[in-house]
Amino acid sequence: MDEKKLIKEAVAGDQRAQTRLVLAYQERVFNLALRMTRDYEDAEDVMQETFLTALKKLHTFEGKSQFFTWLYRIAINISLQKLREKKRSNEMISISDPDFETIHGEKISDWPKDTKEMVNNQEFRELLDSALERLPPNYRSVFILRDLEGLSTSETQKLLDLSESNVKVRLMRARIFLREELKAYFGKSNVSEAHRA
Amino acid sequence: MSVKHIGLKKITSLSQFCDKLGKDITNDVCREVEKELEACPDCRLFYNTIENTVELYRLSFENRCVTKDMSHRLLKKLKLPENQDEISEEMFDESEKNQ
Repeated sequence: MDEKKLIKEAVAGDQRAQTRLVLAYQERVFNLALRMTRDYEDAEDVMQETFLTALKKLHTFEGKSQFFTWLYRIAINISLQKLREKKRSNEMISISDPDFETIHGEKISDWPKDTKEMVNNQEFRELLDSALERLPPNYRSVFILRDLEGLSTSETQKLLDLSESNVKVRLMRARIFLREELKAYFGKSNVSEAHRA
Repeated sequence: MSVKHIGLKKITSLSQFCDKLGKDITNDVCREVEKELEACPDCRLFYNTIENTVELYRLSFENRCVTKDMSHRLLKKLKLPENQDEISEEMFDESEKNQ
């Protein structure tokens, strides 16, 4: 069914349309929440709160943006609120411009060729998780929306109420921050052998 | 600051305006990033590792499915019916109440 028609029916109180709308978007919202919170239970809570809010405010959706970006905005805000409540995110970390002198002070070497296989390794997945968790939420949102969810700069900018250059700067800083976090792991000697063992 | 530092800083700064990290040849800034990368092997390595980082996150955070139980709990929380029969039944009940 046409999404606009479905939304119109849902706004009018048609429960069947509301159910269809929820079922159509539950997976995207859940995965976004999971990436933000890194916790299944929290992600489920965020998903439920997102749809509760969305259905309550559905009449305010003007159709100027895509429906999923409107929904994502709600999900991101609820996720950030959840993170603040749990105080799991390290608010003390501030990310500034990368220190290029330090980066060049170290010998930059390429990473092992088989890094992609490492995502199946539990220890490595935990490292990815903890690095993302250390990334301040306002940078994490940009990284997740742009690099993991595949949203454009323009969509991300509208969704987070940021300027275009702010999205770009945060994205680059987030990428460099995460790269630096992973670098230590790849810097370990024989990491590939250890991974394969 | 050495020439290398300036190169990397310039590339990083430019690449904020090139979404595909130097691979979009239709974009002037991206072409410039690519040119800079060619002139600075260390910068190229640095960029490879950034691309690698993004790729690793993409691979590790593949979409998870919403289970039937989760979906059931969600609709219950929203007080929405799960299927058409249930909807019809509720609507019927409502119309009966209104009579």
